[in-house]
Amino acid sequence: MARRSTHTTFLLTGTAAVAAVLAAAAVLPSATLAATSATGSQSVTADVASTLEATFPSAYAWGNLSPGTPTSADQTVNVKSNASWGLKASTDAVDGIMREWTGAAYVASTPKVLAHPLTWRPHTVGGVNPGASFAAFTSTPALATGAQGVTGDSGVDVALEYRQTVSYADASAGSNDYRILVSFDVAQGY
Amino acid sequence: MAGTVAVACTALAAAPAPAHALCSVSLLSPCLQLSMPASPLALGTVSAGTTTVTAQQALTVSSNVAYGVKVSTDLVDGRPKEWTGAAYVVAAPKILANALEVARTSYDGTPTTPVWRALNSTPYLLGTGLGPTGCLIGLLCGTHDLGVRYRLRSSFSDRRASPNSYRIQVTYTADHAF
Repeated sequence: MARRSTHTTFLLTGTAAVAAVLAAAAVLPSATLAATSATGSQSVTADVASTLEATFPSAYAWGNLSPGTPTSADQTVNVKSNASWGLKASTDAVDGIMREWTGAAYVASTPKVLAHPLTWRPHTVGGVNPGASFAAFTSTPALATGAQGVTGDSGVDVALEYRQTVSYADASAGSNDYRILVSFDVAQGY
Repeated sequence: MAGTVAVACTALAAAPAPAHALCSVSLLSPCLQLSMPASPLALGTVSAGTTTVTAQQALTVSSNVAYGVKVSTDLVDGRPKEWTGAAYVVAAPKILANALEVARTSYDGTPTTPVWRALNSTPYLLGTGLGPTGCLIGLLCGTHDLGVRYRLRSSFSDRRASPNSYRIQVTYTADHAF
């Protein structure tokens, strides 16, 4: 193992230096003698910032719907937080109604729109069904769950269900689709 | 004891890191000195769910015979505890989820591969059979730096302690018998 020598700091000057060392040692008090053990301490301090992380579901393609009231599969938001937190959801459409979409943009001129708004509810929070009813989305963020506790490192899953009533008033969008954008807002303090 | 005189070990340079130590008077008598890095070591505010590794901390040892170093903490399970700045919080203190970890990362200027070990109050041998640090006819001894780093893995179970903080005290013991 390579070692870094510190011997050069001594600048040996022969017997005179040794004599000086001996002389210095001779006046040391006996209370400092024979050190075969030495102890030292260092304290380590830190704080932990209030931290929140979340993962969100990817785009959900419902496919071709027939008149009826289908319910989506669970759409799961995973939240990790070391302080109290909550989740809100909203849509880009003020009234929560899905609108004709080209694949790149909403149709601007006389778009087809569904007759009924998309509705939603929290299905489970941390695996527990809170028993919530479906409610229509709006552009105003609505609380899915709030005042949730510290999550730990695996986080807490909030599973949302969507439900869309399709009526005979809803025409096929043809080569286009119907679309709405759901936004999730997770924050500490909700 | 024939051939021996009084033995002492004292620093020639100012604390905390002497350039070398004076070990008097005998060739045969042991001498050991340990200088610690600055304390406290403040990690600042870390984010939950992250791993923080400190800068290297140098323990400076001067010894005229082989020595070992053990490390332990004042807290039994090695998990930093809520600290007011003057004392640990007594009633329902916040305690971090994970123990502070330590690893030896260099010896006498040569990097070593870190082997992380969770600290606790039971002394853990950080190194054995180290040194001696090179002495001039057993009197003036050079120094070795023993580099260590700490690792703190924060969890989403760890709450903010502000205006308090989390603290733990790490104690090193160098001994010729280790």
